[in-house]
Amino acid sequence: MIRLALSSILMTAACGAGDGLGGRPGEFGQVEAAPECGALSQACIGQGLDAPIAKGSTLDIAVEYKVAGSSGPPTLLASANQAVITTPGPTQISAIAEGMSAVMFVGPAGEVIDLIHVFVQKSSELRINRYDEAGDLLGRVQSSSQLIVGDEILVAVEPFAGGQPLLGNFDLTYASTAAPVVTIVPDPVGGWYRVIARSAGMANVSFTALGLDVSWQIEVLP
Amino acid sequence: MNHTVTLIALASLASCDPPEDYVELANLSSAPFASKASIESDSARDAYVIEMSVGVALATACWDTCYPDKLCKLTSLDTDTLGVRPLYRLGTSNADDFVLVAQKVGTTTLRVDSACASQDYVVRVVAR
Repeated sequence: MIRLALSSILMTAACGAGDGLGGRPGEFGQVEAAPECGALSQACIGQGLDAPIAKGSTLDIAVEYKVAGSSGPPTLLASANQAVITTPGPTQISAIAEGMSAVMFVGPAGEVIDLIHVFVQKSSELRINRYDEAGDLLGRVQSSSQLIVGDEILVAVEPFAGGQPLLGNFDLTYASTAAPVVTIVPDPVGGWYRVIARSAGMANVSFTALGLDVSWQIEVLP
Repeated sequence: MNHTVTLIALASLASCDPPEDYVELANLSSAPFASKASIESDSARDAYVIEMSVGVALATACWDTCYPDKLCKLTSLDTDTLGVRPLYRLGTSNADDFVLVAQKVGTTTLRVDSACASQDYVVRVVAR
């Protein structure tokens, strides 16, 4: 009788995972977790936790409950490995070192409602990606480009490691060597930047984040 | 002849001790990529060992032979190395489900107590 019950438990556990649409299901399919990224990072396309998190970044996690018969309870995130992931906010994790850690969704009585394992990786490269106004990825910008006065380009700067896009929100600084030629304006959507060609000339645009930088040589034609 | 068979049968019965009650843990989840999460409950070798990579959270069910069944209690002797949390799962009583959390590299003991039996597990939390 007890063995049968145990088999039933194991079967339930094995078959309990969700289909992953819209987010990443937890170990038991009771929670679906999706990253809330500031920019339309490539790793956020599809809103799944489908990539490692960039070391030095933070990530807000949106939780969708799949438990029938109850609303989502007050929930806190808890990290299994505080040397890798910390939880500075109720729905936010911070990736402080390379490695792996479980993130647990903890209910009001301290019970684990579900859990998911996440990986943290150090970024090896920043890429400037261009998006159209609808938010669709157009591609990676070339290291040098020509624009025409009046052009306005929407970009996001995204971390990669070994060619794989990484998740996470992070502080980013930007500069243009010739602001009258090319101006960078942060978009109201966090993580997006508008690069505006204002007058003919040459400018070097640079972005710095996560200990890395990337530059973009722009010639603006009249 | 009949007496011989009877004696052998009685001797066999006499050697059959009633089975001892016991309690053990079983996996409810698995390790993520490139990580370890295993529970060994081998009474024949008296090997009760849990091995987990640091950062892994492993769901487990406590199983015992107690009748009537009572709640299990799990106690980590080093809560810095191994954390224990209750697990909520829809459709179960949840009382005997737990999450073991490998928080720091090291070795400790996990004490599993039920109404009729106890078992200590050696827990090794290893680096990935």
